[in-house]
This record gives sequence, C-alpha cells and structure tokens, in this order.
Amino acid sequence: MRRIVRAAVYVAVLVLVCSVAIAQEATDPILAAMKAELDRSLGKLKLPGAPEPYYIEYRVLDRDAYNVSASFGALTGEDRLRARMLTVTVRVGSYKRDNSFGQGANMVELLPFEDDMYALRHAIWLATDRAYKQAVSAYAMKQSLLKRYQAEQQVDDFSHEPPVTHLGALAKIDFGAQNWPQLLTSLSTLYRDDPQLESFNASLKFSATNEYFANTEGSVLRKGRASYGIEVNGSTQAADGTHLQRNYGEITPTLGEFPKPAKLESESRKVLAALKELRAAPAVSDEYEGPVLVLNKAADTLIADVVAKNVVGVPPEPGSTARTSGAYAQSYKTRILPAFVSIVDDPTLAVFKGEGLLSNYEYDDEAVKAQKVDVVDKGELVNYLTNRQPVRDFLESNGHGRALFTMYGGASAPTPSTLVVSSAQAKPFDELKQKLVELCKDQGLPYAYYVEEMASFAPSALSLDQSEAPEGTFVPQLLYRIYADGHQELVRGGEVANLDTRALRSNLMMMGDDQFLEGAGGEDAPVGIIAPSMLFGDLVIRPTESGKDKLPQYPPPSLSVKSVR
Amino acid sequence: MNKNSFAFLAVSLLLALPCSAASKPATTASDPLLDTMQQELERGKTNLAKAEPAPYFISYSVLDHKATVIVAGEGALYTSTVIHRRQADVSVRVGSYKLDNTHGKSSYSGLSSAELPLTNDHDAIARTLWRVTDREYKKAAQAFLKVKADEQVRAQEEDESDDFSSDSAQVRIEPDGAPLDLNQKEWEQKLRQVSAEFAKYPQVLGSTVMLEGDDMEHYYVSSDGARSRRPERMIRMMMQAETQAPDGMRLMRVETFLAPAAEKLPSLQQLSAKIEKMAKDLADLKQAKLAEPYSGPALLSGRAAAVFFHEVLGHRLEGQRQRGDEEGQTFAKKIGQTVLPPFLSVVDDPTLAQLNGEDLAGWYPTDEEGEPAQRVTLIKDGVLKNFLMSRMPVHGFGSSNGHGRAQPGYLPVGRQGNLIVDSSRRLPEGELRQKFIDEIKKQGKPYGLYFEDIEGGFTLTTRQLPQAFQVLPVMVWRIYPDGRPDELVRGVDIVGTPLAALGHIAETGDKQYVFNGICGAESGSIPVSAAAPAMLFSEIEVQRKDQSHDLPPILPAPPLPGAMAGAR
Repeated sequence: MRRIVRAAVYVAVLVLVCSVAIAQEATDPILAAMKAELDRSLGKLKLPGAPEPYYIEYRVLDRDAYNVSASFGALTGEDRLRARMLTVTVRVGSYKRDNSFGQGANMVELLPFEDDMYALRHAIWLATDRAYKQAVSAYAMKQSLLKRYQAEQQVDDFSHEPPVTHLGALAKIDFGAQNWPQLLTSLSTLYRDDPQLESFNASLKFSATNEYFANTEGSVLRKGRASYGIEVNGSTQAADGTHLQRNYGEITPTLGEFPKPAKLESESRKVLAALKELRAAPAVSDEYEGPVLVLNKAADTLIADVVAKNVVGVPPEPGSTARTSGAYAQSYKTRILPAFVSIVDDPTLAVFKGEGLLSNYEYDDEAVKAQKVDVVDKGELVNYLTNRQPVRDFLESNGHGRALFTMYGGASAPTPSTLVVSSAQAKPFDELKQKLVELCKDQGLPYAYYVEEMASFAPSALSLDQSEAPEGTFVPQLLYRIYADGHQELVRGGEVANLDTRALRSNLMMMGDDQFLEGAGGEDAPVGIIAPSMLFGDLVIRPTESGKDKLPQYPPPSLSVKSVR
Repeated sequence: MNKNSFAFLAVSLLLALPCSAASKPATTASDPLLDTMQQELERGKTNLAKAEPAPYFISYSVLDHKATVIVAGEGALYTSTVIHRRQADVSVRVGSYKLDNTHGKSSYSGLSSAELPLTNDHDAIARTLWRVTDREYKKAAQAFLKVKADEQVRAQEEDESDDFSSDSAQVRIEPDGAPLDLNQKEWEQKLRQVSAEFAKYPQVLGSTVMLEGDDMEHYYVSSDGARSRRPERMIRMMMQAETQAPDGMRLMRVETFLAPAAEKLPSLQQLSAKIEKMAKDLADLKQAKLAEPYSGPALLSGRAAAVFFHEVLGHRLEGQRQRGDEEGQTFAKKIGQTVLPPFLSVVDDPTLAQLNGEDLAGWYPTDEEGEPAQRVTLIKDGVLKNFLMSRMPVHGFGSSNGHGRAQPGYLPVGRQGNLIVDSSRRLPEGELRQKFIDEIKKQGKPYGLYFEDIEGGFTLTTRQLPQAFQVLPVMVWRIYPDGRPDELVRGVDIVGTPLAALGHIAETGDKQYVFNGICGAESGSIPVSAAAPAMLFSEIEVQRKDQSHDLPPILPAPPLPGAMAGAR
C-alpha cells in the first residue's frame, strides 16, 4: 500500500517538473520510435492461449568509437565505428512469477545508426515479436522447472519501481587538436631505447555512448557519456625465460582530463624503465608466509575480485535456500571485514580528489534512481547492491542495475558503481610501512613483501564465473622485498596465493589514509574502486608456475639508423 | 622505360582485358615491404639452421587489406566503415618434405599470424616478423616431436604420401594497378535507396543489403625462392530478404553480385528489378504447397547445377580430402574410373578472368603458396583424372597444381577457383524441357521437379557462415506432364548423398551459367565461381524439410512514411 501511494506522489511530481523533458522526448527519433512500438505492442502482442506481456522494455546503446593503435613506432590501425544495439526485454506472467531465468530475459539486435523512423521501428517490431515468443516458451519451461522444487519461492521475480523521466544531454567525441595517430606512433617509438623488448605498443580508444530507455511502466530515460582511454603496454623476457609485462593506462570522462603528451611520454618511459629493472631483478624462488603490504593503487584489484562480485544481490539457483549467489551469500548482517573497515557504493559520486568518475550516474540501466548504499558498516555486511530482480530481504532495486551490451545478451545485472573503502583508524602510509618492518623483525623474517602494483584485474567483478586464476591468487606487477633495515629490492615471478574472503576478514591489520581511485569494469558498466593501502598480517607469496618460455632462438633484427626525435 | 610508365601501361591493359595474359609481371621490381620480408626471412633461415630440429621451409605471406563495408536495411544504414589492416602469416616446417610438423592433426602448427604496421616502417615490420617467426618455430618444433612420437606407435597409414611437395618457386611481381574506386558516400546513398525498395513489398519481413569493397595486395616470400606480389580488387554486394509462411517456415531469397570494379555492379534499375523478383518469389513461396516425398526426374537450371556441382562434386575433389582419417575420401581410389556420364567434363581454371563475357570471381594468377594458377582437368569424358592440389601431396599426385588457397590466417589447402562443367550433349533449353516431360511420362510420375535455384555454402552471405557441402533447394517447381501450369513448392530437401544423383544426369543444356560467390571451408573463405549448363536428372530423391514452429509476426509492420506508402 505504502508503495502505491509513494508511486502516485512520484508520478504527480514528475508531471509537474517534466513537461520540458516530455517535449524533447517527442522530437528524439529513437525515443519516439521506441514509444510508438511500445504503444502498439501493449495489449495487442499476444498469442492465443499464451500469457500476455505484463512488461516490455527497450534499451538502445548508440556508440561511436575511435580506435588507434601503434606498435614498435608504426601505426597498426585507425578505425571509426558507429553502431547501435537494441535490447528488448519482454516479461510474461506477473511481477511475482515471470519468464525470467537468472539474469533476466532479452533479445539483442542491431539497429540502424541513422534516425530513420521507419527503419528503427521496423527493427524494433521484429525484435519485440521474437522476444515475446521467446518469453512465452521460457515461461512454460520455468513453470515445469519450478514444479521440481517443493518450497515456494519467497521473493518476486521483478520489483515494482516508480516510473521516471529523465533526458540527459547526448555525448559526442571531442577530438581536440592533437594528431592522435602521430602521438601513439611517437610513444611506441620509445622501444628503440631497449632492443630486448618483446613488444611495445600504444592504443587509444575514444568513445561517445548514448543510451536510450523506455518501458511499458512509463519510464523514459536518455543518458550520454564519453570516455577517453589510452594504454601503453610493454613486455620482455628475463634470462630464465619468464615473460614480464608492464603497462600504463588512463581513462577519463573528458578530454580535458586526458593526460598531456609530456605526461604520456614520461609514463611510457617509466614502463620501459620498469621492464629493464624487472629483467635484472631476482626471481622469487621460495614460498614466503608473513606480513604483506599492498599499496593503494594495487588494492583496487583485491576489492574488485574479492569484495565487489560478492556483494551483489544475484539470486541463487532455483531450489537453493541461500539469499544470493557468491561467497557472501550467507553473510548478511555478519562480519566480513575487520571492524575498522566500512565500504559504501556511491553512484552519485562525480568527482574524487579532482578526478572525474566514469562510474557516476543519475539513473541506472533499469531507470532506477542511483542511490548511495552502505555495503559494509564497521566490518559487517549490511546491504547487497540490487537491481530489479529481488533477493530475500531486498525486494526493491537500490539503483545498481547495469547492462552489458554484447551480442550474447544485454541483460542488466546488479553491479557495483563506485566502491569506497575506508578505515575508522586510517594511518599515514609510512606508519603502515613501519609496522611491516616491525612485524618482519618480530617474526624473525629476513624480509617482508610489499606489492606496489597488481596485474590489471580480470572482468570477474562483473561476472561470477570468469576468474581464470584460482580463487585468492593475485599476480603483482611490481613486488618488492623490504628488509629489516628498511631497504627494498624489486623481485619478479611471485604471486600472492591466499588473498580470499577469509584473509580479508581475519588478516587485514591496518589501512592507510591514502584512498586512491582506479577505474575498472569495462566500457558498458564502468566500475570505480576507491581504496587505501592495506597491511596484511599473514599472506603467502610463492613463485608463479606459469609464464615461462624458451628465450628467442635468435636475436632481434638490428635497428636502422634513424634521426632521433 | 621507367617504373611509372610501365605501371601505367600495365594498368590500362589490365582494365581493357582483365585476364592473366594481359599483365606482364616483372621479376625483379623492388618493393619495400617485400624487401623487408625477404631480409627477415633470410635472417630467420640462417639463424634457425643451427637449431634442432632445423626448419626445412619458411614462408611469409602478408595481406594488406582495406575493406569498405556498408550495410543497410529499410532505407537506413546499419554500418558504414573503412578498415585497413595488414596481416602477416608465417609458416615454418621442420622435419622433412616426407614427414613434418603439419602431419595429420598437427596442421595447426604450420602457421602463426600477427598484425603488421600499415606503413612500410622497416624496423617495426622486421621486428614483428622476427617475433612471429620465433613463436611459429617453437610451435612447429613442439608439434614435430609429437608427430614423430605418434608415428612410432601407430599402424602404417593408408596413404604414405609426403607432407609437402617441393614445387618450383615462382617469382612474379604484378603491377600495382589503380586502387579500388569506391566512393563511400555515394554508395551509402545507393544502399539506402536500394534497401528502401524492399519496404514496397509487405510480404518481406526482414531484409539486408550489404556492400563490401576489398582493396587488397598479397605479398609472399619463401625460403625456396618464391617472391610474389599481386593486387586483388573485388566488390561484393549481397541482398537478402526473408518471409515466413503461415505455418512458420522461414523462407529466404539471396542475390549476390561480384565485380572487379564499382562500375561493373548492376545499376539501380537492375537492382530494383532483382528486388521485385525476390519479393515476388517470397510472395509465391509463402503461398506455395509444402513438398511431398518424391523420387523421379528432375531438371536443374544452369545456376542451380553450378551450385550443385560446386558443393557436391567440387569440394570432394579437393586433394586433402583424399587422405587422413577424418576425411570422406570419396574419390581417393577412383582415378581412371568413370564417375560421371561420359558426355560431361569438369575443369577448374583459375587462369580465366571471364567466361562468355562474364567476370569470374575465382580468378587468380598465383595461389597462396606462391604457385602459378593452372587449368586442371578434373574429369574428362566422365573419367576422374585429377584433384585440386595444394602443396600437400596425396597418393599418385606429388605436386601442387596451383589450387593452394586460403583466407589470411589459415594454412592453404586444395580449393576450387573457377569450376566449369562442360557437356558434349548440348540441347537447346526448350528441347531439354520437352525431354524432361517425356521422362516424367516414361516413368509414369504425376510430376517432375524443376530446381530453379539452389543455395549452398557459397551462395549464402558472409565469412561467418561456412557451410561447405550444403545444398539447400529454394525455388523448386512441380512440372506436370499434362500441361497444367508449373507449381512452386517449398520445404524441399534432397535425400541421401546428393553425390549419388550425379550418376543420373541424362541430358544437358547448351548454355553455361556462371555463379560467383564466397566459399567457406577449413582454410577460410575465398572467392570462387562455378559454371554449368542446365541438367536433366533421371532421378533425384527428396523429402520435406524439418521446419521451425515459430509463427509469423503477430503485429503488422509499422506504418510506412507517406512517400514510401505511396510506392506500396
């Protein structure tokens, strides 16, 4: 009852404030085409004897992408690609029980990228028809599947949410005045300083993404964002055959924040220098167990891999009594981290320490208003991040439904936006380092380990079953030994073996006051992780088993003499 | 004569008469990319000679490919882009011609690929080639160990042919020629117009029009002395439309056009006429009766016969299919035997750029192993004579006949180029139809089947859907001997091995029809042609195709905008 009243008030307010937005909506060809097909389908799209749709949703992603790549000082590609993709979701049955399995039900199709009303509507029409028929057969399958389980499902399949109308500005790529192919070519030319490199390349991706949304509940949404990304990758082989990699990457929401050429050059040189240094560094040969310090910019990987994917409200398999899927499925209102740690997820955070966040949004991909959510309070898991697919005790979305657009499906799934990790007892980094040395001495160890950079993390934050490495395994890109006298030594070929949920709960001793922002999560649903440095009391570092190969059979070709830039 | 004027002369000759005889390839011309490839190949050969096992063969193949792709539907563009890439394929063989790392299931070890810079930057290209060569060598050496170990434990193979032939190395530098003249903006507009035409026809549910312009340059060097460069320019246009019968059966019509230059593509007017025909076919098919199981006389149009021969015969005459445990080996032991009626002969001739004035898509001067294209007589007066050979020998055939073909990234195998079926029994088509009716009467059948159009792997769409061997009859008519009008049927499926039907060819027409398409198989997708006369079969057996049960769309199509509605 209360929900209905709230919805009614909401609608009344919207009618008042959104007259301008509605006028725009009528002129936006994509929204107009969606609206026309929604209106036409509702009430008429039905097969005799089959359930009718109770909900239809259209999402269109329009992406304009500019890609440039260069390797060994020469251009290898420069493309501009424009594409529009449509995701149609049709739900039959009722909010209580519908055709959705796992992460929902939908149909992905290409749309023309031109604003031709007939062509747009034609494509939407055929996709809607297919999505409906698919929904009907999925509903029948689900009904028979559910009969196998005795217990009645406790939560609905789809949550009720108030309709919203929001028309954001459209995004466009800003190219600036720079000659990008030339810049990348010149960055990748730096390989000439180190003839032993296996690869050295630079790539750039600028994109403008505009998303359109409409559903039969009356929500209409349009949002645009741009992103400017660059990556410099290098690899080399150590004398024992180990492949070593270093990379530098930056992704910003505006061209203004994009690193300047001088900065890119110095970062590229750092990659080269690190590879040289790594090649000469000793390899980890014995297993170590003891204190490990992880720097803020390496800690994001742990948070993404261990925490982020486990705090989302993904319903469990049918028949399961768990609340969600994942490692924290049974951890609601229990301690998952030390009592000094709190984590919030805040999609409304637009800027952190002067840096713009790509993971910021006003409405999620299911047209639910973004909400700041306490995830971990004083070590205790107090909330899951949810979308419109309810889980026990979380019957409404808290604005974390995000969609990935792939040809294999564009279902939205509960996904973190910006996870902010903080400590009630934050200490300066130097204190953490000092503590590390103390622990090392106390335990009679010759040295302790310090992780400065972790290999960039897998997309596993967004999918539950994609992690390649065994649970808890992380590969540092820059790993140091810190000796009792305080001096440090770079080593290579080591991996952290047991950094799992248990280690985070019981082994995390201190955190820094040096929160650092890293972006992640891919271009469809960017995720931000803000985390400080972390000191663990007891972790295992062991030699990596993979990544070795014979050295090249013969030396690289000698470089021709070229004029120095 | 300086190089430029030579090139100019060659280009004008090529344009005037686009066949291999027209160009007079140079053998010594210098090319910066070829020079870098050659240098790096020599360095690899010298350095790896000391390795154990040492390679006995190395080749570098580079494709510089600029593709313009435009896709439209219902009057609007879905895609329009130009993509430029250079890919290098490095092949290393260790062991010997007799037994090497590509043996049997290890053929994957014969090739490694990498992306190359788009500019002729010597250092960057040399370094990239070095890296791939090293990687490929290691893969080859590793695979060879396994091949040798397997050899020791397995029984003697039926075909003990070598793994690689030592063929003559070709040096052949084709003049560069003019780049492909394809105006993107202009063709965007044309595709909008053409794709909007389908909206005139309410029976057409979905339709797509696609244009791909390929401006390519192939470069090849090998350790046995081959060195070649050749341009390849081709435009492919495809129109596809579909509908659904009231019972849910999906029905599709496809038209493809291949042309060496934009001006050789059909005009808008010609395309409109094709679209009208496609739409009419779909309307007719939608209402057509479902096929019934049938065995009896059948007539294939020239186009249908060409597709039939490409899929059913051509693929089975590819050399590599005659050896190996997983191959059908249909014709392995039939050399010298009669496999077709004696009035039929089949050649594959990639040296032909045209047949009866029509451009052929399967034309090339040298294959992907650097071997010169050759006219090969496969079947002479019904007797099997030869196979389509790459440098992988089979019993009785020790060398390549210039049919080693592949899409970049794949190891070449024997493939078709221009498959041409010739008959000494040439009946005017009117007489052929009369013979058909006589045959139906003779066999006491209520009707015969006329196959107007067959789709196969190579008549259909794109590189993503290789469907070698598949024969899908789409336009099939019942012909009644009593003079009743011909009747279209849908859902026809040829039963059993279509190959068996080849023995039942009784008569042929007097005109050859050409079909140009893209053929997909294990070495990727390549342009091919097939040509054949219409054919009368004394017996073909068909059944009704399995069909989907999805009903046609529930709602009607969205309303057409004013102008287009008028056209409808």
